[in-house]
Amino acid sequence: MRLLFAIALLGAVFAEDAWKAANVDRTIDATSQIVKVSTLYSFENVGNGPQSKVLIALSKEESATLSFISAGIDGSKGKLKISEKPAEKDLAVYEVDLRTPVAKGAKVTIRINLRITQVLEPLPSKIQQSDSQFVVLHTSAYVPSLYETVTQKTTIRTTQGGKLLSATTVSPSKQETERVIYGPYVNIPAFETKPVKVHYENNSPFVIATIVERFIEVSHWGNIAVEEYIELVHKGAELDGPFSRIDYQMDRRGRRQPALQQFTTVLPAQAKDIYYRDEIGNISTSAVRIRADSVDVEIRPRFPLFGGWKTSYVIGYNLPSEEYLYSKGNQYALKTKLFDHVFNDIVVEKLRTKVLLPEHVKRVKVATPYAVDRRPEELKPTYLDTTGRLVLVLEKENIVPDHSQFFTVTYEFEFVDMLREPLLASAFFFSLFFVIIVYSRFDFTISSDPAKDAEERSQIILGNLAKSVDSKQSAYEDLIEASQQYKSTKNDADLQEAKKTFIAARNQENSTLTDKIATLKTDSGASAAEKASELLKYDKTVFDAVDNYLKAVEKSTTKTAGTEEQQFLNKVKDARNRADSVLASI
Amino acid sequence: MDISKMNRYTAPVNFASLPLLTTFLCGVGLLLLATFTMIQVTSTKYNRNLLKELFIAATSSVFLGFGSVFLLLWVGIYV
Repeated sequence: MRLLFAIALLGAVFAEDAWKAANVDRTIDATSQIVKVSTLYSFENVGNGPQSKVLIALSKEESATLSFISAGIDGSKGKLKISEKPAEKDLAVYEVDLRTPVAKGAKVTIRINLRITQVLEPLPSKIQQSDSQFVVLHTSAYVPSLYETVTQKTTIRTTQGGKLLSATTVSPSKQETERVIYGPYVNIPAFETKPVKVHYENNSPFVIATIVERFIEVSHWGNIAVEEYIELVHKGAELDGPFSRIDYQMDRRGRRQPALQQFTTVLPAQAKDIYYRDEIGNISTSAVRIRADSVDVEIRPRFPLFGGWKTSYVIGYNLPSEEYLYSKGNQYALKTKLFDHVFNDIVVEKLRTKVLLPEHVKRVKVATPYAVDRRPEELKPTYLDTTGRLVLVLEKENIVPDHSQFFTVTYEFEFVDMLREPLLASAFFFSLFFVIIVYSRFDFTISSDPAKDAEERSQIILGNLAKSVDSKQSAYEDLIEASQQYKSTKNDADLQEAKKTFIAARNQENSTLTDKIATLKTDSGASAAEKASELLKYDKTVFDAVDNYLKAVEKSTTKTAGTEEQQFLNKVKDARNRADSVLASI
Repeated sequence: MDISKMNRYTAPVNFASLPLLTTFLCGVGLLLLATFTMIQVTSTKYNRNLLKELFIAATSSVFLGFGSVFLLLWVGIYV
């Protein structure tokens, strides 16, 4: 008995709707290829207490091709959290978290925005070049709801100036030039649907990007390189029959032909070094316009895109890193767009965003504004890399311009790793030098040439002999300088010291000369050694004159050199000349 | 770490100074390379000096290494 009662109570709780839709005002904008549904719900809490969660229903068809959903309290800017719940009776269910509970009996007005893609069906599906494109929109005259709706109205906006071929009538409904209005309907029970078909002219090109591959390459030298590879297909009514360039140029509909003629891609204001090309190369029919807060690239593909036609291209640009990269210590954060503008009302079937981070990054974390599929990481070796750069791969299907939002990648990077690249280049250059150093030490001569060897050796010995002579002569110069010093100071000890140093230096050089002459003798024969030994003796007369010179200096009272001193100086000069002639003769 | 607590990242080398740095570093590197070549060409097997050659090679390669990285950055290859 008690159990039965409990079950009955549970049943009662489920049976009773906790909310009632007091008013629903839905606008379906079907002017482009994206069906934009904006619904203003006015919910009344008819439950037993305050509630903070409300359920929104979408038809199965809508939810299957739903690309983007957002919810907000009407009049305020904040976004509400939405989560998908299990479907009920052919209706997909989404739960909206209102954040602040709504009291019993109170009302709350929320706006739900939907972006539904690829539901407009071209009819006829094949058209001639001069024809216009007509499409059919399938929807329900009643807004799908899990709650009873008191009043509701649906407005379908069709193309401005376009024909409206037919629209299902669900009284009260009316057709106007650019819209079809269903409702207002009163007291529609939950789960009630009324399928309607609207057949109208829609010449906006149904161009879909089958893939957008976006590469974001981060360089810590101060640049973020962005490149997008885009494949476009016109999925509207297919072009039947021939294509005539003349008819196309002379078409009086101009931009209103159902073909993609040109479009504008809006890039960030800091974008520079912009390029736009396809497999053939640069496409010159493009222009860059610099605006106050953006850079607009006007793109005109090589040919207009008619139904069923496709094209692909690459667009790339550089951004300064200070706008998008943040750091603190070894922590770095990249904040940039996961998907960026291609053209208005584009539908992307598959978006693949690849983020190339510098080498040796650690602890990479990704925070995205909406759920994406994170594919396994890749490694991409590029300039001055050793192991390759880490590539994050993020994928998402069914993208609309509303998905153009920022995401954040945080990672750790040591600043010292910046030096790795120049050092790698340095190591490369050093290895080249090293190869030359090693190579030059190998002897590749087939037969030895003793005469040449001896010549090379004696050249070195001669160089050394000349060096010894030089230092011997400079010893004389030092002595003369010391004597000049003496003339002003009259310090005997200093002069004696200078003389001692001079004699020691001369003896030292003479002994090295003797050694070298001995080696020269073994190398180049006795005659050369004979001549070289002259280098030991050539300054004999000068050396003998040193004592006299010093005496003259001691006696001298004038600053200027006396005759005796002058003679000595001349002798030193003569000795130098003699030594040079000896060296030349060897 | 929260991004709002981080500072904007500024590159270690200003892009405006890249041409000057490249010319200077590559220039010094090439001069040393010329010295190295001169030593290699003129010296015989009896008067080679390994330490001197290694020293010139090392300095030259450091200058050329940094210079060429800046050259890459200058021409738009953001390594």
